[in-house]
Amino acid sequence: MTSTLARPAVAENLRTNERFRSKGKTARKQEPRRWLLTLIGLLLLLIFLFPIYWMIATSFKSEAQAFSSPPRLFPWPIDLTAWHTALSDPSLGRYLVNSLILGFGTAIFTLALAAPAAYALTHLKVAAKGVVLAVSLTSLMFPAVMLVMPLYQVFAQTHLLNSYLGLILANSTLTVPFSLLLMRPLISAIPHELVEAAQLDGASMWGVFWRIILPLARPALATTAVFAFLMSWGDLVFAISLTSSNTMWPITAGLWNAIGQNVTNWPQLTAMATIALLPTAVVFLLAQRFVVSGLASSGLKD
Amino acid sequence: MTPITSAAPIRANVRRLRRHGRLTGILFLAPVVLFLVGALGYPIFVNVRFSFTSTTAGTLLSGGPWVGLANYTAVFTDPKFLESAGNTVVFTVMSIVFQLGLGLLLAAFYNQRFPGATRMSSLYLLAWAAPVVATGAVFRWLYDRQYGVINWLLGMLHLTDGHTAWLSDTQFALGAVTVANIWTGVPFYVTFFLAALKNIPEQVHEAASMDGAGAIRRFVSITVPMLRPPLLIGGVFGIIFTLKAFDMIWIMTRGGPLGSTETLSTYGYNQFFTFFQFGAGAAVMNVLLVVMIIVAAIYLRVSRGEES
Repeated sequence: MTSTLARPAVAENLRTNERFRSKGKTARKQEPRRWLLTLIGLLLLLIFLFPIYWMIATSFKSEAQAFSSPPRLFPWPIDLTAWHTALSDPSLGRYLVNSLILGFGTAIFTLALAAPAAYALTHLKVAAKGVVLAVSLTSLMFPAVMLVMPLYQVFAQTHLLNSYLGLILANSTLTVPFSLLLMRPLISAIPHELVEAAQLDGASMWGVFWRIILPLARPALATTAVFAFLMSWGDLVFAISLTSSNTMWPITAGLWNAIGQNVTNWPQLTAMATIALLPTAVVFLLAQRFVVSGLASSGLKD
Repeated sequence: MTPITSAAPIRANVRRLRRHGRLTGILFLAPVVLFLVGALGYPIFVNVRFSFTSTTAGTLLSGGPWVGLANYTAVFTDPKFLESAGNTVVFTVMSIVFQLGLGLLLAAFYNQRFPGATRMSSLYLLAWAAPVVATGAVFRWLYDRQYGVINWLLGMLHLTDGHTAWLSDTQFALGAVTVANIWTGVPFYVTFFLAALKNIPEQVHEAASMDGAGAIRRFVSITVPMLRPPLLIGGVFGIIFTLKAFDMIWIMTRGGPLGSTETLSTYGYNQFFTFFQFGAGAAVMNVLLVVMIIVAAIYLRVSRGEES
């Protein structure tokens, strides 16, 4: 165990040493230029993320501070009125709980469907693999607005309107095909010899799936879960179309409704927008590695 | 687990497993297939069927009477439909050009070796991870006529009088919404192109710079040509993402003012949930579906071409 762990580290060391030896002089000469690049890079990033900063900053301003001309860059002195109003809204807790239920529900449902399928598509000999892949690729392109009326009709008949299950199923129309395409190359990378060896030892297909594939596919599962959660959290169309009472609304629908009703109180609206943003920002920052690798591979690997 | 004594039983074992595998394999796939058929296949069937009927709120569950192509002719002769089709083209083309362009430039910048490059480049994704409703809300605030930062900045630079009604003036609304949409799309392309750039061997750049090629020259003559496949795929992704983009427009303008930001998505959605013209809405969605299928065909072609 230690030797397998140590080996890549040693190799990495050798590689960096090599780089240092060949580039040491030029690298040191270029040091100020590099820090200049860091500075420019940071500046570009800050300019780009300004809308997010402005959202958060506005939420900590009083109305008078927010509606001042010229605008004040910093919310100083900090004013918590908007946060106080937003947090004392009795529906807010309900919206957040709904969003969490839908986010986790969609992630679990997506994993339960896509993980076994990705295993079958990569390590098993199954008929119609190509068809399933082509269909999921195509269905990834269907806009939610295209599905929403037929889903409304079906859900009306099956009493799934205004239900968590209905919204989870609706959100999964996006996440399931996406996850299939995301997971396939990752699970395919698990050496097939491991699967064969376990089969020769008498493991059933379920056994192989549970004891070999799932433990080794943990990063793939995490990536998929993160994407499913983020996509579900961001949904608006299904949330406002497949529900008729705000008790089932996620935070996105609540915010959308607040924008419609109260166009001018920007500190309050941005406080609510910040609350909607916060969980996605936390999930993203915690799972950054998975998100970046997932997005990076989405188009490059087949 | 019985000890293995000779090769013959193993071979028999493997054969049995393979035969057995085809059946169990189907069980692993079945849930997804059922889901795709039920939650994606059936809706398309409903859309196709409804598009040939006159279905209204009262007949939603049963489906209205058959009217042939009437919905399609009604939609295609509706000037609002033609206007939204035009808006969709402008919105899509502008979004993709700027998302790909800015994404590629930023990726090329963060592909240089400097402290913090990787970390900073991935932080752009915060804008991608944010719910579109939150983004749309803050952009409405940024575009505010009187107190918006954008008007303040433009007024200070003496580019405008500083009181442009970005979202309620038919002249500017589509552009303003497009800019917000571009902003949400750029981070994906930064990450996407950065991964592609890492695949270009560094020696290529080193050789070119030894031959005296400057940074801009290297970008145009090496980076862009070598990124052709990801650029094509990125473009196709862009068409899909942008044709799907509904939330941003719905939050910022709801297709207004006077239909100036109406795209096929919002037009179709309004047919469904504002006017309850389910037949006409379904017809619009089928037009969109045909566009999607063409895009899918192009995508498959491009990705197959890249493989070989």
